[in-house]
Amino acid sequence: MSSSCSSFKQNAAVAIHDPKLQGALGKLGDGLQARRAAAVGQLPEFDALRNDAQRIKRQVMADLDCYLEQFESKVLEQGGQVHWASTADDARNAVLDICQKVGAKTVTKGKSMVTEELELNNFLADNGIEPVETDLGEYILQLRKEAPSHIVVPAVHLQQDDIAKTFVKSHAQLDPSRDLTEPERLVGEAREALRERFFAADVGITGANYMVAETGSTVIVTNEGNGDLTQTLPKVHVVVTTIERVIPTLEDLSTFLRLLPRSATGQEATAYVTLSSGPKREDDWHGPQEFHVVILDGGRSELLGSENQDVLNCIRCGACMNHCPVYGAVGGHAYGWVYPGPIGSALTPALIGVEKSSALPNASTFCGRCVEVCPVKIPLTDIMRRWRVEEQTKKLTSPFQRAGLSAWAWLATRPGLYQALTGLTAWGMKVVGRRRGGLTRLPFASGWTQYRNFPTPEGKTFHAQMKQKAKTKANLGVRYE
Amino acid sequence: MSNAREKIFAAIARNKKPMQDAAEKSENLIARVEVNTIPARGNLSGVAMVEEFEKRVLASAASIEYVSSNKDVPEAIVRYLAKHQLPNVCFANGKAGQFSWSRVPELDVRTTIGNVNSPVVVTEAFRGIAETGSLVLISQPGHSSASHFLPEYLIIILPYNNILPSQESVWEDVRQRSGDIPRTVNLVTGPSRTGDIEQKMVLGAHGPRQVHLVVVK
Amino acid sequence: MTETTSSIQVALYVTCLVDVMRPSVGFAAIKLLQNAGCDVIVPKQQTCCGQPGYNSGDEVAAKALAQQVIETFESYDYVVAPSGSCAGMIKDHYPKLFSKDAEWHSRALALAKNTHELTSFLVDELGVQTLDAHFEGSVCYHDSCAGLRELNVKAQPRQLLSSVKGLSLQEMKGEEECCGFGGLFCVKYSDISNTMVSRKLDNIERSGADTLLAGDLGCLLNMAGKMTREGSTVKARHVAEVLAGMTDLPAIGEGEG
Repeated sequence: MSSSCSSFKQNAAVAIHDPKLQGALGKLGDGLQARRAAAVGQLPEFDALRNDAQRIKRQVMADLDCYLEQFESKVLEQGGQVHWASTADDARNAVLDICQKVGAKTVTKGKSMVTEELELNNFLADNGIEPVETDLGEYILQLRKEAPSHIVVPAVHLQQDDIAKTFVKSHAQLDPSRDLTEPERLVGEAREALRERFFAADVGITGANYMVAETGSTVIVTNEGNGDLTQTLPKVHVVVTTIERVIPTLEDLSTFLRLLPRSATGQEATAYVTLSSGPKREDDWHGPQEFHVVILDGGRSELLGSENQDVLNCIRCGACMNHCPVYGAVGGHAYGWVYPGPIGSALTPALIGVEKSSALPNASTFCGRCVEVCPVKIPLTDIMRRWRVEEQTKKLTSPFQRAGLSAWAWLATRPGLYQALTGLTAWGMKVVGRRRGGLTRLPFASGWTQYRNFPTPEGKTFHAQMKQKAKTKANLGVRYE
Repeated sequence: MSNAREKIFAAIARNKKPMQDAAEKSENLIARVEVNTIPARGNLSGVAMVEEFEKRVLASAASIEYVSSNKDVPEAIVRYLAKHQLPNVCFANGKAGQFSWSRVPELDVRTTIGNVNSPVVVTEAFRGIAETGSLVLISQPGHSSASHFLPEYLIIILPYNNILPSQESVWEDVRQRSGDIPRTVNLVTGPSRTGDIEQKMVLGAHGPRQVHLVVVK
Repeated sequence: MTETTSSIQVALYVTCLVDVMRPSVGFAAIKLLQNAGCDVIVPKQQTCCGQPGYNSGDEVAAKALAQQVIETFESYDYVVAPSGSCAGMIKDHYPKLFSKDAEWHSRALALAKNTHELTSFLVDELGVQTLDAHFEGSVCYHDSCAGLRELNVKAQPRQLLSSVKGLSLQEMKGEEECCGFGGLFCVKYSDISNTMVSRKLDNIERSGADTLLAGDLGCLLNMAGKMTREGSTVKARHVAEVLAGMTDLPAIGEGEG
């Protein structure tokens, strides 16, 4: 997918002044955040599970090739096919090839962020195949021709009346004055609209939350049931996923299934977890005749063994973005690529290059709330900080910033000179701002004073006062040495 | 695509770093690790386990009733349909077709593949999971997995003895069956739902709006 | 009051912001430490902990300052800072900064072990339960991110505040949410920072408290600057000022009239 990460600041400025978006984002606190807190609070073993999950993921990454081989051989053994894709292009072509071989006209799709990474919908449409998103959020966005703004709740940036307007416009055969004021009515209408599409589809495409090496199963974790209809009714099921999603055993899957729904939506369990292994068996009534797994690398293998490897542990729960104050202020579209929020800021530079995306890892106060809630304990802030180091090392930061930081370090490693200068600065600001208690304009820090006053210093610095006290022996019983 | 496969595996082999405590690593990469935490809630047995199961089933917005034998299942279905003012028609999926339906002649029980898209589906569960109130449904010969997701009302029959404490105990049983894992394993926890509109949970997205569980003692 | 223990040597890391902006916080910290029986030393050679460089990806600048801090403070029994952010930098980040340099890494680890944020040092290390202080008013307490998440500072300031006579604590909603300061973040991403501090101000105002307290001056300058700009009547103070009973000076950002 093409990116607009480098316009993050401009995107953010627009988002901040969009009252509808702000209204939608304002619901995260009492919504997904509160629900996660309640669900986690009811499971005393939650932290132990997080440690297990991190251990399992690290164990997988240490032998990723072996687990992938094991998975592949189980899929083949059960009559499925595996397609390896080094690049997004490889993956798109693999999917198209499968669709064309069965003469597919329409494909239904379950929610999949990897297919967003591939811009698969546009690619299929350009090749004469109609993709139909069936997850409610994704369906709404497909009608609106928008990208998801969240990896779990793709239409979280919209309010109910936005969606009602979209449905009135898109479901033109229905009475335009019908009542769509309750979410139940919107859900019911989408259910009706999509039901026949499920039966008519030639191919069903889903993602995979996990690939289980032991059994060759792909696993999807859902609430609506759309992904299940997508992968059960058409004659071909294509799973599009990425190399890091493999886990060893069914027991390991259970560990992740305890973490994912609680972290994502605050549910103890989602309505559905479905394991798919190969094509349908001879006497099964339903299930696809062909089962394909397209496994994309897309730059991930280069993270293996690097300091940032843990970013591959992500299970795409979205908790980091639900709790991130920056995401909460600007929403997902501002980030400009597939994965928003802290995980996006940590992952995107690895996949599309820090040159195009350095604005993302910089857009964090390092408040650490994302790390606190991450179910697999990814050190997101450390990883963002390392991208900043790479940006600085490659001299992608502004020369003004680089010079400023060097000058600061030069000065602050000379305590005598430093204290003389800070003494003068404090005194100067005090003289200017004494009466009002704050400055309303500051050189080099208009970003501060545009929105806030800069409080006036008390006057003499701490060190100046300590020196003076030492001289007059009114030293408070403190050694100043 | 074999070229891509080689590329990917070469990159992984080049970059991967062994774990620091590699000594602990088993020779068999998928040897089951016994150290994963199972929450206390998933370690119950006997009455406590069944109580937990019922509590979690109800919390998932499903309903539950108990009958004393397989013979009583058909009457239970008729009662459920009457309670919800539904017509006396259902699709009995796979083995569910073998209940003594003749006991309830007023009920039109359909068992052919043309009827999988019926508003009411009766199906049997492989196991129940106390920890989460989930039902495990598996694909098998003469059975429709799609019908788990198509109806408005999904009625699931579960033998009492098939209530197990945790997912882990279900995986044990899955392995004990002969052959591979079934093509489709569905863990169903309550009705279909969505939170895609303003984070509000609405039941009955694409799948069943109601899930009713009949436990056979 | 706590009983006097045999004198514990504590070096005060006053932090660059307190030094320049609010020296009274430093003197309040000295008083609190002395009252708890500590022998307080203020090393002259201290300046900045290196956070601006560290968080901006300039590890060369960060290391130069970290080495200066380590050299200046490593000989003392304890290092205490009236800031979760700077104490967290030393405790949590210096060892990471020197992860590839064995000698400095072990020196950083040794210093990290002895370094503490002020209120957690008083409560967790010295066992202080109550203080002899008086403050008339209702306060809300903002949990600064680094103190909260890197150093687990949460209960300690509240424990101490609960013993202050005349003070009532009225928690705000979202007390653990970032105020939007983030060092250079608030200047580089001023729009986003403003959205964050505006939300914070809403929560502060809704708490009904007349004074906002926190343990980090960076956050306090940000929030106080916003409050004065918006004409809020809530005053901002560092928690040490209240705990030490040193609240005669105007609140942060408050004029002399």
